[in-house]
Amino acid sequence: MHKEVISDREGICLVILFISGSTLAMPTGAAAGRDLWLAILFAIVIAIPILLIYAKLLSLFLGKDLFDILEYGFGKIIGKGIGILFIWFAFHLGVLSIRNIGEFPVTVSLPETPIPIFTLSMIMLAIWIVKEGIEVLGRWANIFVLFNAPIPSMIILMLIPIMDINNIQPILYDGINPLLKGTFEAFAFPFAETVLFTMIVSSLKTKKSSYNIYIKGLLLGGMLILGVSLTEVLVLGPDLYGATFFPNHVVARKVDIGETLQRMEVIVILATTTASFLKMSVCLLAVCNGIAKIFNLDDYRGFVTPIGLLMFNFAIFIYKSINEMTMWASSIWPYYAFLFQVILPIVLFIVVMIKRNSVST
Amino acid sequence: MIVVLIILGYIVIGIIEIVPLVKKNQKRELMLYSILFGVAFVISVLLGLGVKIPSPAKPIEKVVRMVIGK
Amino acid sequence: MKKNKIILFMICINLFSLSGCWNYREMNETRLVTGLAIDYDEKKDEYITTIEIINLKEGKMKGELYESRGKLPFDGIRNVIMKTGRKLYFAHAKVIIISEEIAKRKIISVLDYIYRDAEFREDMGIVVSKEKTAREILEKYTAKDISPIIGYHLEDQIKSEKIVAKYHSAQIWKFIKDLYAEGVSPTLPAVKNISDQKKTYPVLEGLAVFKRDKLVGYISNMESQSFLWIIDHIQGGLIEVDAKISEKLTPITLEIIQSKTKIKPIDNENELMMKIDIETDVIIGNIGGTEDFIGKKGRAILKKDAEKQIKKQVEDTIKKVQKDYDSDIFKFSSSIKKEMPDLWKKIKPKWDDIFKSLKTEVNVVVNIRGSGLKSKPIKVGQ
Repeated sequence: MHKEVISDREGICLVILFISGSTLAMPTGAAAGRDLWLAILFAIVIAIPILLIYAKLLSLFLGKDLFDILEYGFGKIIGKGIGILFIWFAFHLGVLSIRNIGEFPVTVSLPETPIPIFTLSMIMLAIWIVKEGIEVLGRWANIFVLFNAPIPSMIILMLIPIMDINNIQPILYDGINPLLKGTFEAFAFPFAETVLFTMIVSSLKTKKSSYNIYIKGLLLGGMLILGVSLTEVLVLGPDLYGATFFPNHVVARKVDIGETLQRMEVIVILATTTASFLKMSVCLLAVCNGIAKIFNLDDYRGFVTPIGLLMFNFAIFIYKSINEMTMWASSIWPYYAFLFQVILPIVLFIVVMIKRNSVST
Repeated sequence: MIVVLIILGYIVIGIIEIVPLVKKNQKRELMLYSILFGVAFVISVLLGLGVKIPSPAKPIEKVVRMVIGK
Repeated sequence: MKKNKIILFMICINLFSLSGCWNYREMNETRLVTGLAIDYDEKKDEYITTIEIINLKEGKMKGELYESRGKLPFDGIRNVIMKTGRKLYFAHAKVIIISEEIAKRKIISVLDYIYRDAEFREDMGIVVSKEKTAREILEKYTAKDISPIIGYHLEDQIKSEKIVAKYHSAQIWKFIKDLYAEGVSPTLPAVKNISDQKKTYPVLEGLAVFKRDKLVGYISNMESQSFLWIIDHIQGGLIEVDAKISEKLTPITLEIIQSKTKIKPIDNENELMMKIDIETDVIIGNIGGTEDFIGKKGRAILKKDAEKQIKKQVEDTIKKVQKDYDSDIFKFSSSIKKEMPDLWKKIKPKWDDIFKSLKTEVNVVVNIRGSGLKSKPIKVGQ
């Protein structure tokens, strides 16, 4: 079988779309209130060193992915054990994004349609694209980033007339605590979720590629999120931003230029759906890749379908309602994800560095 | 009614996907596939029948709350 | 063989997924709602909802009214379906009229429904009826030649705020946003029926002043203009000024072309004061006499008189709102919070008292930018 390789550009597009995936729909860092933009900026800054660690790991072991590195670092059994934990994390994230993409259209425009109808059609496509492999996924991202990045930017421009600067002033009115909380939220969702890429990107061109992909992707995707979130707060105000399930959709409804250019929410739904689709495909790919590695199989393609179906099933019963989902996303997820996003990678990094040094001396 | 649809759907997917695996005689993959497929099938049917399945989010939530002490 | 299977698979999938939308609705099976009026029946503790629906039969647009009751607005509106027999479609609703009773006591339940429901657009207008009930606004409408649909008629009026500048339109989401803000109280345009030439139709008149979420009173058209000045929302409109060169007063109408207001809180020696700087560009629109207000000297006098009158008008409005309603509709609290967050934290609990006796300093600068097409007043030959 030939070796799959993705170019740096494709990798960057993947990261951008992955970061903007669910975040274009759901609010992040709402705890920070009017200082949301600061929280997101801080989250990007904090995410840089963590992502550098991921990148360093990938570049040390060019052509290997997280599961290989785990085995190298912790030995076969513990490595596989931690690998299974990571698989669960990816699986859970995938379930979350599927549920998210199901709730979104049902809540905003089609209340009578059952959620499984949307999620089933999305998961079918995700299974298909994952079977085609990461190369196709990369090319897909390469095309759709041209669709997904300009639309939010356009909408931001069109909303300038109804923005109100008073919504973000005074800075730090409620003290530093909400800001820190918001930063933490925004860091865990979506920036550090890019840890998933260590599980799928084993096919980079050069040693520098991983840095390139992670940092450029983070900065560009972060700017997109920052712009969109800032717009939402500037238009809605911090209280309504926090009280709305899908603020991006709500602000897009407010675009009204000369009564001709209005009702832009449909385009936003499209952009959000495509980005979320990529996010869940990446999650699915990470899970399949991980299982293949754990069981020492050559190819993950054989069992993409049942895993996709499992994800689909879980997405139905994991949360009872959208309220439970948003509560989870904001108050449990950041702590839960912290283990996988920060603690385990750092431990792994330290172990790997010690091992390598002792080998070389 | 919906259960019949689910079963039909799984049969179609099964025929399309399992037959090539059997032909290629990849035993490990076939086994893994069957287990995952079976689990997915059972959950789907249960959901179709309207059985309440406990969500894995709850225990995770408990553990997280315990660790962060809230 | 493999290709055939794939094609079969695709056909199966497409059969299910492309055979139509779930929320499929035919135009002839829905009824477009253009306006709502909500009243409150105290005796039964029920909301009375009146809905205006477009009837497109006979190739002509015609409004129809339906009324129903319910424990909450949502329930009431659903009950209309029992009468229309068809599902209602709200995405084109333009305006919602609430009665005084609702505005005084029950506005939250109405706002909550509109804001929560996915079908309403939260940029629809909301107005308070000055009539006994909100229903009267829809019911007594007879000016079908102005616009066959009252909802559209009211929407047109709301949109004319820019040129009339005597009321301040409120989109629902902005109203809710103001409710969230600390210290600030919102306003809504008030509407009442007028009759002329045997026609009855609603007009917007002045503003309904709220204190938090409760209606406390109204301000007139002139006061609404001052209100627009203070919140820096004036984009047009006219000012009536009486100016004097020699003995007698000459009425003059000035048209506002541009205006900018800056509000700044000043805290000197424990005495909080709001400094309001208004700078307005006007052109002379109408001179009610033959005296020359366009020449250099006349212009200077006119400018002074106009400044004086605007200042008085604005000050009077602030005083009235402070004295009668004690409700911070001018968003002074927002500017204090913005400029002096620490001070705001201290005075927040007592803000109502502070606002009542808050000192203001109004400075008005009027720039006369032109005089229409003519450079001289009309001269009457001796």
